[in-house]
Amino acid sequence: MINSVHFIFLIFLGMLSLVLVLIIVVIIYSFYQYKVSVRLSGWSEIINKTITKIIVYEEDEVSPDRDFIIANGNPSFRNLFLQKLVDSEKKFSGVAQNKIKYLFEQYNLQEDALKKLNQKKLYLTAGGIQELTAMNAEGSLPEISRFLAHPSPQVYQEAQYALVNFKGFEGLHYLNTIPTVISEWQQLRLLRSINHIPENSEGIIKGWLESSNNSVVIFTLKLLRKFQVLTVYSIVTQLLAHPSTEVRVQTIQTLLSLENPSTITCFTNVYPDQPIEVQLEILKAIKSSGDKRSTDFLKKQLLDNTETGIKVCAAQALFSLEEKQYLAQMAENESSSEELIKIIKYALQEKIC
Amino acid sequence: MVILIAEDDELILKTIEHKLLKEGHEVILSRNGKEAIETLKNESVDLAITDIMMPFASGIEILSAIQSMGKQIPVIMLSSMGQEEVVLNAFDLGASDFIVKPFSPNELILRIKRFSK
Repeated sequence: MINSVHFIFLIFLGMLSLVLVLIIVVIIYSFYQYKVSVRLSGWSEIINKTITKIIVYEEDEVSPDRDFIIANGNPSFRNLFLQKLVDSEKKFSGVAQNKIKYLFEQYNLQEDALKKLNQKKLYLTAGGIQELTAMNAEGSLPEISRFLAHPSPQVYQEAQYALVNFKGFEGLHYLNTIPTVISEWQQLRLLRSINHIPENSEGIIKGWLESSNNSVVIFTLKLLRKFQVLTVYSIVTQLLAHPSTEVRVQTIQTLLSLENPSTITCFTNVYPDQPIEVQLEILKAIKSSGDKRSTDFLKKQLLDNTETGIKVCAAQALFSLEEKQYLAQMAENESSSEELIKIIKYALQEKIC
Repeated sequence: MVILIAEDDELILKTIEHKLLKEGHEVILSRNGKEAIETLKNESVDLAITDIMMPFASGIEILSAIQSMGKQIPVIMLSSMGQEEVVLNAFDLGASDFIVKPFSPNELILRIKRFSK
């Protein structure tokens, strides 16, 4: 009996000690965290002051900040400084933005960013590329190019973006060999960074349109739409027979954007051989082109096609081509099927609302 | 001129402050919309520069407050890309000008000069 009480007491004492140790660890950790946050906030203030001074005053008006000089020896401070410069670059434009980039050069932060490229943690590598890109460190382009074939999308996408950011259209040369999918988001980023297509680029563009990587073909089609490259119209037309439905849909959109008098006829000619997704895209294209020569084609689709989606799209296109009266007659015609009447009323109602 | 800057981004706030002080203006700082409205009630301000998105009260609420106080203070809005509709709303409420971020502090000074004449 005494032994068991003694045993329980020992267990209680052990648990109490454990709780006490845990409390001490939590207190020490919280104190450490507090010290870190105080230090970071102090450093942020020093960095903000430096950035503000460089933006507002001329070089000869600014005296070196003693706190900044002392802190600058600490690698963690330099890392924060680098992050702050990248953030600040997004807030200012014009001379102020150039001065921020000048700070990056003045304090040799390119070396710090380059060191990140060799880190094992992928987010650090991607972050390093982002920083070099934001600060326009074009000298680091050979280093960044190494990452175009990196297995991680996070890393190679940043490298792709960096190349285009520095070199524009010329930076897209990796499209010749890229085996990976270019995501929609990445395509948007790349498109935004390209400001012009040099003359005589048709050969390069043709190569991309023949790529076995569908995302390269789709991206190229978007590029043609953005820059209205009319000279490759006939090459684009051939993509209406591409094995990928998605490529064909994008081809319809591109041909419509580069439209010439034969575009809609071309659409109606290839229409019977297309999958339903492409047929729907063709109907939408006819609707937005407003080409009245397609009226009979649309009426045929409305009456004879078995797919409800096609009938709806055809009815909407007819409405756009000012065939409201025809649609109203069909809706009132007693021989019209119930489904057809519903589709027409749906198309008409949508427009009236 | 006495200029109120309402902005929750410390770097932007301080940069505009130093730029205006260098130009010889008097500056009052507010780090949130509520503080800015209180300042406008109690202080005499010649011009206000305000961010649209701020804690406690937005730039639009500051404009409404100025209207309800019956004060004639020119207001320059600092907006971000994609806030076109809010900017239009701000003009309806009496905003005098707007500048889109990322912005050039030099351009802001030029805009302010228009109101100091």
